[in-house]
Amino acid sequence: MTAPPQLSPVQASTDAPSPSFVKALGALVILSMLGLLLSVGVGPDMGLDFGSMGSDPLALQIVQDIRLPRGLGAWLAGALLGLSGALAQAVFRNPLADPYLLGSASGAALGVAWSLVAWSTLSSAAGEVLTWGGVPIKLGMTGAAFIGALGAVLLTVALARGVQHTLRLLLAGVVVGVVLGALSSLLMLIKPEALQRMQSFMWGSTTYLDWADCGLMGVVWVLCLSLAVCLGRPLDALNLGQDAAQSLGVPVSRVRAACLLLLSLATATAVAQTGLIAFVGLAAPHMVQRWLPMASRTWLVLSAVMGGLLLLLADVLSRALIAPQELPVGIMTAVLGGGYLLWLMRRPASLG
Amino acid sequence: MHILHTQGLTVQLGQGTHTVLHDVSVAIPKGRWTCVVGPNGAGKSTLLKAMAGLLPTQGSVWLQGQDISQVSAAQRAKQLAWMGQTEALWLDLRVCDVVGLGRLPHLGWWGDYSAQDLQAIETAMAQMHVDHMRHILLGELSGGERQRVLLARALAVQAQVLLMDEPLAHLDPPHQVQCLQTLQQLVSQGITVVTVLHDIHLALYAQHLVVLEQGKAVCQGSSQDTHVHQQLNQVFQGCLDIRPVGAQWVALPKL
Repeated sequence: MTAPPQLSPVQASTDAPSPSFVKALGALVILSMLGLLLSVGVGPDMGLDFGSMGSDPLALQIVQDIRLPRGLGAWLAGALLGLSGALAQAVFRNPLADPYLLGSASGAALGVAWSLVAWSTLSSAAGEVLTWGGVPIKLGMTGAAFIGALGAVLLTVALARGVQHTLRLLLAGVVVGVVLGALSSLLMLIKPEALQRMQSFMWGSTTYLDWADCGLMGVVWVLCLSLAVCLGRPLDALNLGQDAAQSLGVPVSRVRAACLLLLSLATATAVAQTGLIAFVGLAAPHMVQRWLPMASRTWLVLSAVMGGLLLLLADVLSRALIAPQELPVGIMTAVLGGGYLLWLMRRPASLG
Repeated sequence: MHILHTQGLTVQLGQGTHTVLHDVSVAIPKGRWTCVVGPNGAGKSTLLKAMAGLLPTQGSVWLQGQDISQVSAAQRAKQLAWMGQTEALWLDLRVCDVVGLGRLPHLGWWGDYSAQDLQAIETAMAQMHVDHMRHILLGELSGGERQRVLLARALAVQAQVLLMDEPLAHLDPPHQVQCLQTLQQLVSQGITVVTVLHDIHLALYAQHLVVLEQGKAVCQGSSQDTHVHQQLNQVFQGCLDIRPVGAQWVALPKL
């Protein structure tokens, strides 16, 4: 046998994480922190005035109870959407796959609408059920959203007869999205009491995020991200082809199922807290891939952090543009994301 | 001594309408280089895939005395590496990441490389001369360079049995020679190599031949055996002229 080559420091860079990944992650984290600082400083009746904050208990309370959870929550929701977008693009090997185009967000919205209706029925029957800071209700809504999201993805894949055909998959996703959206509207018609809450939900809003939301999204994000990192290399192997992946011992259908579960959970958790926020899941993985092509496990991490940064900045922008009024952040991301998609469409090669 | 053998292997594709392999029983000798040859559509690639346990089959495949359908996928992947003819490629993957996928059967849940994994990746990249392009994306390579990356991916598994479908495709003559030398070196270390080659001339460098025709194993034996040569010629409708040049048999087209 030939003498095995010795590892030089340069060669050791084969190992992930590569230095460029560490740098990119560092840059995104620092930008996110700056964004959070900005987010805390922007709002009606208060500019950036951290100096007087210590002496002003009201300002401190606004920051602690409203702005900080809102900024952090926006980041976490964006991170969940970025992660689920990256998972969708990796498992479907389709750069246009995202929680919205697959119908999973509409499914999650239907789940939330259903739970809102159930809640309004329950609360009128049994009085106030807002206990423990509304945590049981949040969990219930997230659970219902998860079931809706998973059902919608499965329905889309079934209608498209598999994931291989891009156009069929996207068309099926659009059909499922429209039909489930219509079902949500029908629920609202039957139960008009829930209509107002549902309206702000449909627009996508970060306004009412509190610490409980942050806690829930944080836990789910850490869980989903860790599991997604475990799936990173098998996903890369799947990209060599199903046979090659199988020959490497990858349980192909189980990996795909795990990806669908994770992306449904991540989408549902974000949608249940913030409503429908479009394009973050599509744009974040795209931007990372364009900027720094890499293996899936590092790409998934960067896409998640990038998603958080995007939604945080969109949130700041939606509050700053027509201050002291604010735009629903979902409208903001739809406009920005739509623009990004149009710009991508001018470069057909990138949609591969 | 046979490391891999099949018994009555029958493979049907397309909802059982098209039988690709009929009752094939072949035995692959351990620590040698076996080449599967035959005309286009004889079922060479299908046989290789079936031996890798990647196809639903009737009949059985035995790997080191175990029925391969009873071996777990993870265990099989460590013992046997398979390289296909057309691997659909995610072109945004770096060369070192692709070669690293060969270590997948050896990695834990989290997927971090150990020192041993890194060593295997380095060795495989050096063997296929792709170590200088480790950070280049697959999409930026030529066909032959990509092929070498995929070969390195298969070598990185460090399996006892290597199944390779057309390993020399897209390679220029110097790299064909390098690839064959690497395979011969592996065989001399006791690794079993099975290749599919459409080029009879190159196939005669293997030690053992399996001749397929229309999904049936017509003949198997040493590549030095003139009986095997006769069968080979028959399968190719008598258009080959197989003759010795020095110690090596060569196949020339009969014009």
